[in-house]
Amino acid sequence: MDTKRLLIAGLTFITGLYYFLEFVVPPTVPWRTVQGTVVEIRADSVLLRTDGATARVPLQPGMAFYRQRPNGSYERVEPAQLTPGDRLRAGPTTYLSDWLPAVNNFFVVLMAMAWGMGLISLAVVHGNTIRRRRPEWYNSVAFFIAVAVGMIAGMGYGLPGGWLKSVNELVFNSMLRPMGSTVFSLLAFHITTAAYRAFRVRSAEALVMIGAALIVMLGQIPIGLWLTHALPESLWLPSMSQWLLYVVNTAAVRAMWFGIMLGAIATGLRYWLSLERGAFFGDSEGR
Amino acid sequence: MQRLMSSLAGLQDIDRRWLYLGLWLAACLPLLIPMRLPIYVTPETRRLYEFIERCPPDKVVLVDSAWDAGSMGENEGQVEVVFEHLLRRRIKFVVISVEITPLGPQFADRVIERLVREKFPDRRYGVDWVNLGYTRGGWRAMQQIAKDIRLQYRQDTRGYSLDDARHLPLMQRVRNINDIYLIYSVTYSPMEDWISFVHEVYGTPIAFGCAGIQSTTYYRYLLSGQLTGMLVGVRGAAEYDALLHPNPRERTSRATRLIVPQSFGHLMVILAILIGNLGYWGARGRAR
Repeated sequence: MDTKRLLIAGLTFITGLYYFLEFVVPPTVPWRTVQGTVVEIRADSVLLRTDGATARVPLQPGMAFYRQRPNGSYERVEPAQLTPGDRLRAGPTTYLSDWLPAVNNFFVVLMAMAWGMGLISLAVVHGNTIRRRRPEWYNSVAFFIAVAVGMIAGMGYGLPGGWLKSVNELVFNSMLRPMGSTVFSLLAFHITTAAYRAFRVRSAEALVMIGAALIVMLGQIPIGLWLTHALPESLWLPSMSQWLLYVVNTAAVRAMWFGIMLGAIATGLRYWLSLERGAFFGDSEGR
Repeated sequence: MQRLMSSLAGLQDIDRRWLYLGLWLAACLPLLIPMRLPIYVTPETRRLYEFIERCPPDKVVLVDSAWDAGSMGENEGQVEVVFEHLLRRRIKFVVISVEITPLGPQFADRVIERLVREKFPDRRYGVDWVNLGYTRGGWRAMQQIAKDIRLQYRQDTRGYSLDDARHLPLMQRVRNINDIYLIYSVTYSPMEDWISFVHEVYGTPIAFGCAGIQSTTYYRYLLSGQLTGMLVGVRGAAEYDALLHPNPRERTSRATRLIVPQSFGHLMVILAILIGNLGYWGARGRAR
């Protein structure tokens, strides 16, 4: 294994290990954790009532206090936030949960940097295309212009007025919004022709599927109600559609997701332990 | 009989441009000729409406508005009706946009500003609502927001610090998940991480607004109680508008305007399926 792959595998394992341990290790040392109801908060300690007895938890560095929420989960609090009657779990911290905001911040920043990396990568590719006058190099010029205009327009968002705000409104309202909507609306035309060409009743199973699809499609729109409103409510198309979605669909989706999640756990383990092979994992031939 | 089958078989070879024209007419004509259709309010929409009705005055609603032009047709109506409900009841709300699109906050602003201009001119930014903008980080960002919103956001989209009491008085009483009554995530396909990392840990109710085609995967959360409510596509938003305005003449939302063209679009797809199958049966009959 070369140094680069070893480094990636090592970093992947360490970061994965942190989240795994943070999930399984309790936030306080279990054998030194006291649980009970707050009786009194003193300057140097908190008095707890635990199964008829009273326990004193000293206020000293390294102690963590977790207050129970109404839903049963616990939240980290400072001693000053406690009031008599609170359900409390207190003990020496295991530190893993304390580091969670810092580790999370690191990954949030890292993910934001991926955008910058993407921009640099695109700039290199398009810059080379322009420099070498490759075919259709003018599209690469358009890319740089679009990025520049987009960045200038972005700076105008949130401003009360001025020319930057005008550029922002021009790009956002007159370009991005109609262009984005237009591209997405093409989907409706593709769906219609795909339904016309592909949705054939070739078997009994296909008949069941098409029957369910028609009920749900009609049940999802007001015309379904208009067509069947004279019938008893249980025979209304929206009612039948709801039954299909809540009962039949949910059973199928739950079964599917159960399988998907088992696969995701296996894949996650392979990623974590760097057992995955392929072009994205340092093997350019995809082995 | 053979002639009939041959005629039917011809239905398999309709030029796709006729289908495009049919869909275009189905979507455009209802916009030109106004008509109203009865609305059936589904339980998932009613649950969200009734839950927001019960919001106590000291809590805020967190709206994750993570949609842009691509799914505007379905999502814009979903935020519009809920924003209208919140503004009408004077329920304070905070808009964020996690992970999916950086354009989300600006689209949300557009909807809120129009509602304020047309229906609620006395509502003020910073007092009745705040837009904190886009953030990356997925579930990590959700965890941070739940623990302490200032861990993830230092300022709003206007550049004011969250601790600026003069411009953002609302944010002085919003610290963490304890101040949030409901998280309403609206996007093409909302992230289930809201359920795993926030609802399951803190018990905060979650509601989704999603595209119709994506909704099938979320019904299981409605049944288990992990979702408080859900608006499904334009249909869900039109239902919510019907709950907001029992009098049909008062319904002016985008969703109510779009539900009729969408209905005719659905009919066109159904018609295409039927025509395609008639052609298929005709071809099979002719071959025999």
